[in-house]
Amino acid sequence: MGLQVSNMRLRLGVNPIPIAIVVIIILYSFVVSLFAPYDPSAWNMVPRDQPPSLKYPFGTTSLGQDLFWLCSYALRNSIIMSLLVSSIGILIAIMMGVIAGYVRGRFSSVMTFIIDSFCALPALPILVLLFMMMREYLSPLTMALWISIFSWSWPARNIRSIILGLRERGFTYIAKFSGYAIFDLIRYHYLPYIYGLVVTNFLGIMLWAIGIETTLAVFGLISLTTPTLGLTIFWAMNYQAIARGIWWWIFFPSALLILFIASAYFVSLDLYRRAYLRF
Amino acid sequence: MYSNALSTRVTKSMIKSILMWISKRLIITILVIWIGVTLLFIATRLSPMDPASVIIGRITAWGAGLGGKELEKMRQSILQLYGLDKPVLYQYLDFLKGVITWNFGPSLAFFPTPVIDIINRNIWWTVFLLLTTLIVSWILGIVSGVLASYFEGRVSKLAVTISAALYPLPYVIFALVLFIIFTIIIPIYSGVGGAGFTIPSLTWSFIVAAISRAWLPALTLIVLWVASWLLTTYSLGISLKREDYIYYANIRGLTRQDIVFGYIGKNVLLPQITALILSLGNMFSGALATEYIFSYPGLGYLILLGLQRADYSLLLGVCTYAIVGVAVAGLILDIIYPLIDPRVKYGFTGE
Repeated sequence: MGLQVSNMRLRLGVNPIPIAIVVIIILYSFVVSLFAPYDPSAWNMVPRDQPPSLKYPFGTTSLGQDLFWLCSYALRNSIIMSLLVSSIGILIAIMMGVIAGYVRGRFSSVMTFIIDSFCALPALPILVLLFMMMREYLSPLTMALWISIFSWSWPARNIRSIILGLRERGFTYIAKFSGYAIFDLIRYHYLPYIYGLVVTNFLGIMLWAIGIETTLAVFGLISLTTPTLGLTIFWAMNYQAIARGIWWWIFFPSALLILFIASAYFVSLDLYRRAYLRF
Repeated sequence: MYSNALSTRVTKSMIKSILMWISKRLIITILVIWIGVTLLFIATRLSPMDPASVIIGRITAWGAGLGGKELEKMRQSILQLYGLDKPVLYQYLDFLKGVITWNFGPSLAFFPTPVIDIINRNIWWTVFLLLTTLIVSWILGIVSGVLASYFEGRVSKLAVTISAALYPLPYVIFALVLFIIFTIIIPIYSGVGGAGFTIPSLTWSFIVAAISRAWLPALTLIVLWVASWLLTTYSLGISLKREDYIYYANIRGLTRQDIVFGYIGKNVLLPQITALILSLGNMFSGALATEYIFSYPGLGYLILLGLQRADYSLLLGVCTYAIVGVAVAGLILDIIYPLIDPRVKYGFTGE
């Protein structure tokens, strides 16, 4: 089995370009930001409104920040925040998905109903209202906690449908009749099947969270002390960067975001395909 | 070709099972609205801020020379107006009553004007934008997805790759990119500004103004949604293609057209309607974000206004409209569902 799987992987191959982009961006955000010569988010550290040059590869902002360092720092914060969201979200998703898929009867339909209604809720306006009301108290942690409330429903649906299928498989019955406790059954027999799915869903939540965090930041609903890519774009829009011709202020954060999200999604698609081959 | 002889006659049991289906969906819709509204209530009560201090903050910011006593009195009357001086359970019931009677109180920013009046003025812009883009993108995405899955080749691969790159992008970023492209690089979009806030009428000039304002937000949504429908339809179609009945249809010598639309297309339709119902919330959120970027005068613009002026009741109204609108749209699709899925008619409504 192991050999077969690895053969398949070799034959399938993965697209190296998105992986390379993701690795470079992660290096840029997590390693490069450590070497910032000055606090990247502090104002008036460098001359204002400088176009990209050898000295300032991404240019500088009207607030006197060096975009090269600011972007790396901001991207790092965006990624950390989304990791937080997806860690919480995936835990809820596994719990809800496994229970809704495994248990039968009324309880299961209630769980399924809850999952479906969270899928159908428009998260953005609710988060906007919430964040506006606690604007002064927003920190990356509280933001991540609140965003994760809306993050788990789609993965939970996904996991539930897989568990529904597994429940009817022969090995479930064998395990049950040989006296496996439900928890052990799930732990040893079901989780190996959904690992791949869990990983892709984890990435999925992460990308969604970066998106929603950026959206809220563009709306100005974020803690202003922790720079993220969304916040950088927010300031650029607030200072009319496009109209004033300071295109680099919006271009570099957006381009980094688009590159990262798109290539991370390609990586997760590859993982998803592999996860499905295991069935 | 095979007229479904069974379904031509409407029997009593058929009507009964369809009615069962609809009433079940109705209850679910009400429960979804209830969950959403309760979440809203919790969200507003968890906040350490109360609307009274927001209003008073605004008034003092405008520089009104009010003394401490007057402010305190004002505070009391505002608290009374919003029912905030009562216990939480009472507030919750009041809140639910407000939703049922469709009354969200006066707006804070435009003080005596009721929130509903403001929203009702702008909501048609959102409805118009959402309906057209939703229908267009759903049809385009499914047709192209089915075609891409059946005729696998270079074009199909390209379409899928492009869709996969676009699909996960946040709406605000994509909207921003299109905005920059079409206002600065190729300046053909000029809908930004005060134009378009005229009262809707069926005059030629209004229609032209509305379209010149709406086409770029619409394009944003259509591109992103077509990408997402194409991607999901493609993966459904790919797995359907391996089914035995498609193989059999090929052997039977059915035309390509029959296989693509009759066999793959029809079977893709059902899960995609379910997906549409479930993604309505996400799509609505996306539309709001897009409207925000283009200052398109729908609900997204009201969010912009509400944020700028810290208008808590306006945002609350927009949220409630969003929750109810999404749930009701889902219900309408659910009611259409039995027309497409014959299983409902015969009472097989299980998973």
